[in-house]
Amino acid sequence: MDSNSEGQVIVNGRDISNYNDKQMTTYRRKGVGFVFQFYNLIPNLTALENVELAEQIVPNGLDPIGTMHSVGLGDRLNNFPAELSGGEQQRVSIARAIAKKPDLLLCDEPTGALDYKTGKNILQLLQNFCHSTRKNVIIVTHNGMIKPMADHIIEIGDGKVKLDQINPNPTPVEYIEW
Amino acid sequence: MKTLNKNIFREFKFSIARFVSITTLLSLGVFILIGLKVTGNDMRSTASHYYESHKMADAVVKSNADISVSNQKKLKNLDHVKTIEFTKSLDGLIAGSNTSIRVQAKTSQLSTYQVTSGKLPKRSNEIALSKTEHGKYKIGDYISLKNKSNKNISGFKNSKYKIVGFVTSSDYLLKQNLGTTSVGTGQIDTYAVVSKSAFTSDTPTTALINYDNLKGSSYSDRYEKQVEQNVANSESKIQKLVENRKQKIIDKSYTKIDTQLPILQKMYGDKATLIITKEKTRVSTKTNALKYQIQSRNDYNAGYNQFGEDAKRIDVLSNTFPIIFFAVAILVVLLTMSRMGEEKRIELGTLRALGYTKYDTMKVFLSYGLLASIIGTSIGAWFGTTFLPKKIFAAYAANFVIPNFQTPVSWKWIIISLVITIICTVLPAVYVAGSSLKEKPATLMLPKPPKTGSKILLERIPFIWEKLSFNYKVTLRNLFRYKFKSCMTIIGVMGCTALLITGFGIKDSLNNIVTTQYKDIIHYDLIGMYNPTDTTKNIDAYKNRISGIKRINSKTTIYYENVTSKTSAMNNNQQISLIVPKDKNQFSKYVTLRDPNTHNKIRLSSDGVVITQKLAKIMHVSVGDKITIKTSTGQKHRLRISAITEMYAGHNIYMNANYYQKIFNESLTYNSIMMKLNNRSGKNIDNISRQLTKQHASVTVVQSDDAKETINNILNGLNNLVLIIIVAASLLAFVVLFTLTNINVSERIRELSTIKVLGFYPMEVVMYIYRETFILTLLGIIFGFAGGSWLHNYIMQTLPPETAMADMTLFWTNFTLSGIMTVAFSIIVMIFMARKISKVDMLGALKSVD
Repeated sequence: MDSNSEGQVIVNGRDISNYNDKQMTTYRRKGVGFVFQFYNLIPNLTALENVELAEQIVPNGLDPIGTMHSVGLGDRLNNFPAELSGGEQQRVSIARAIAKKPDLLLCDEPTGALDYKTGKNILQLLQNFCHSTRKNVIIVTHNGMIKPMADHIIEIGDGKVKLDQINPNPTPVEYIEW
Repeated sequence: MKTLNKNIFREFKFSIARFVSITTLLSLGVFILIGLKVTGNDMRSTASHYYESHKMADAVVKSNADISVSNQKKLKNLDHVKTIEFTKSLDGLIAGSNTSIRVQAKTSQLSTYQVTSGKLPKRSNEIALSKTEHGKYKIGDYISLKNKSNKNISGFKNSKYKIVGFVTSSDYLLKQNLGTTSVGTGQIDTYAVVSKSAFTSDTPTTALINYDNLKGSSYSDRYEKQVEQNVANSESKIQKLVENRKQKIIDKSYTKIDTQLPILQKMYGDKATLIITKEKTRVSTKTNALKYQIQSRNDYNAGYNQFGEDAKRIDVLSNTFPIIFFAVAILVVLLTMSRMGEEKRIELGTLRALGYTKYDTMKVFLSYGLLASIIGTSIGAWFGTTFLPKKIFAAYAANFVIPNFQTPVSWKWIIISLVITIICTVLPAVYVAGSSLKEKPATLMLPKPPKTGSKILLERIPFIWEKLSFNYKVTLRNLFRYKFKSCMTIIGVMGCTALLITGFGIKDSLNNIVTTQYKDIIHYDLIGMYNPTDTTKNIDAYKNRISGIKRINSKTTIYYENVTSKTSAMNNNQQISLIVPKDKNQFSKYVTLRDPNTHNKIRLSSDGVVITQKLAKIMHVSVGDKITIKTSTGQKHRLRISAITEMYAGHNIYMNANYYQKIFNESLTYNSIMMKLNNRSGKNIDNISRQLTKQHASVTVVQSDDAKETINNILNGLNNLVLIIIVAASLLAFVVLFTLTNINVSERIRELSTIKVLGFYPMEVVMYIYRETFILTLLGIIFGFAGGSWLHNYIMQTLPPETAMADMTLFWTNFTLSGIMTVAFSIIVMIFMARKISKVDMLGALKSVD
């Protein structure tokens, strides 16, 4: 989506910073799942179809209905985004991201627009995905209180890395309070 | 306040594409509206100016012999005659060439000649030629004039003339076929003016009349109606005049003949009475041929009528085309501006919250709309006032000699356009914004809840819906989600396609008139008219001459007469050829009489006439009705219509000899021979025409392709106009598609970014949105086909001149070409949009709240 002004971005031993547009698109298509603060669901597609939208562009994605069940929305398949609550929408957006079976899940303030309880559910979902599939999930957040749930914490302030530590015993989400 | 203005200014800067689109749309609409509305008037006022500078006569009285001194006085005393001037003319050939020339006596008060170089003739051996001859001759040259038998013209003192100048005349407005004549090919090629002293006799043949009760300029309804009324009022008086004169001549001759009786009796005895009767018949036949004819400009000057008709054709187009152009442009501008009002909702809320007044917050829409209207109207008005009328006139200038085309600015139409454009731009934006402003600023600042997606009807039919690929599902849902915009796209494309089809269709239909007419209907090439009262010897010579022409395919004898007809609603008389075939079985080889719809053959019956299609249409008559015709001697007859026949150019009435006798109460004397030639080229037809007019008994020749040239002239004039309409319609189609797609893209930029982020390739992203546009374009084209057929049909009913009718069939090539063009525009737009989409800032779009 964006490109670096200097340095390298190495993913799985490949430097993706000098990829051209097409390679970048292919990389995004096959390798990365995105979750945004404002969900960005296609308003004109049902929840299930939003997931199918992602699943259909990769060769072997997850079964959309199964994915929807796994995010706990098995009974909301045919609802349009406008008919869903914020938490539900975010869960659809996560389902959409993981249905592609990405190597990497990028989450930009996934709980930013949600209340405390719903936010917690979402984080639980992300942690479960991470631990059950052994895939990397990167969460970007301003909320320092959720640090303990992460396996690896990098703190960035004023464009510089302030802290880089591995957390050997991540706290399960239900014990985190903020 | 300064910062607010800065904000307004940036609005222009950042949405320059939108601003340019709506300005273009408005200027296109205004261009076509003003252009077509003013051209007709420009043409008429230019012509009117030309006529005034030549002091063109309002009406003329023509005699086929002369106008006696006592009759001259009586004509002067006709009602409302302001000025009257008597003149005369003679037709001849320029020696050493085939050029037929009409030589007019110089006039000083009416229908005068304007000198373009040199001077007007003063002496009897001086001549001034038409300006169009300037290239061939120069001042100081000499020309000789001959009659049809290549002898000196008896009415002139001299046969050799010195050219002293070149002139223009309002009597001759056309460049070709200046009028019928008895010499050459039957059409006058050029004209000249000599002093009155050049003629051997000073009795005039023509009276030029100006009326004192006329208001309005040439071609205006007021003017034409009043002249027609004056002419109609004088008609009976003039007929009485000529009847009295005839009676006097006959009485005088009879008395003279009777005085011879005693002498003859002495010489021939009993046979004397026979001789006297014979002599009396001869005198009365000769005298009865004398006729006076009063005609208004439309009738005595073919060019005047044709020019008026040409201007009227543009008026016809100006009533339909601009409406469609404007309608399409306005719809799209409306959509764009109301969309702008919605887009700026949050900004309005913020400004209101900051404490700006409602007027301040609205200012951006007012200035945006006003500026777009003013610039659009200015550009449109400029091109509409100068470029379009000039282009159209240039096409007509090929046929007419009327110079100095004037393009006055029509403030009326400019103001109308400006008002319409302002209403279309300012009103919708202000309305949308105004209704938002009714809400509290706090609510205003929240984004409007997004439109919910919904199921569409098609989803209820699972076996179709489930087969559709995912992309089509989205597309179809979107089509129904944005119903208004979808309809706009369809209507916009429909309008443009319809305009294109009509544009191409007009060209084809007009071209087809000539083909159908001369392939399927008219098979003869020439009608040779002779004088049946000429001596038997001369008539025989004439007929033998025709039989002697080897290249004649076949010939048949007919009666041919020019008559006129007019309804009270018409400004001018319809010129009609009345034809009575001698051998009705042979006649179908020369003219096909058939039903316009069923193509069944029509037979001439003894209880009615066959009239041509267009004549029936403009006279509003059908089979069984009666029409009134007027002969050149002013007699009126009522004819019953027994059938209507297919014909595309020219008015004709066909009847058989029985019916003729019934109506005219006299036995028919055939006066013409209709001919079919082996070599049908114009050159050969001219050549044979010249041979015939040389005969003493010849009256004139009528070429069947005279009508062809008139139509071709009109066609050439319209071709240019049609081309401009096609170009403008294409531009319109392009801008409409561009604007609508642009709105679609910017409205859904977030959606596009999302799928881009999900990893859709650029082409997939473009197709995601373009598929919709494409489906709508196709639908629009299909509707456009229907609309185009209707529009074409409507225009072709009114567009052809009064004497012609168009073939309504549209070729499939029109449809395909128009369709392909629209699709091509749509694809070009897609390429533009693809570039725009590839530049979309995904991050920015996805991170923002809206």
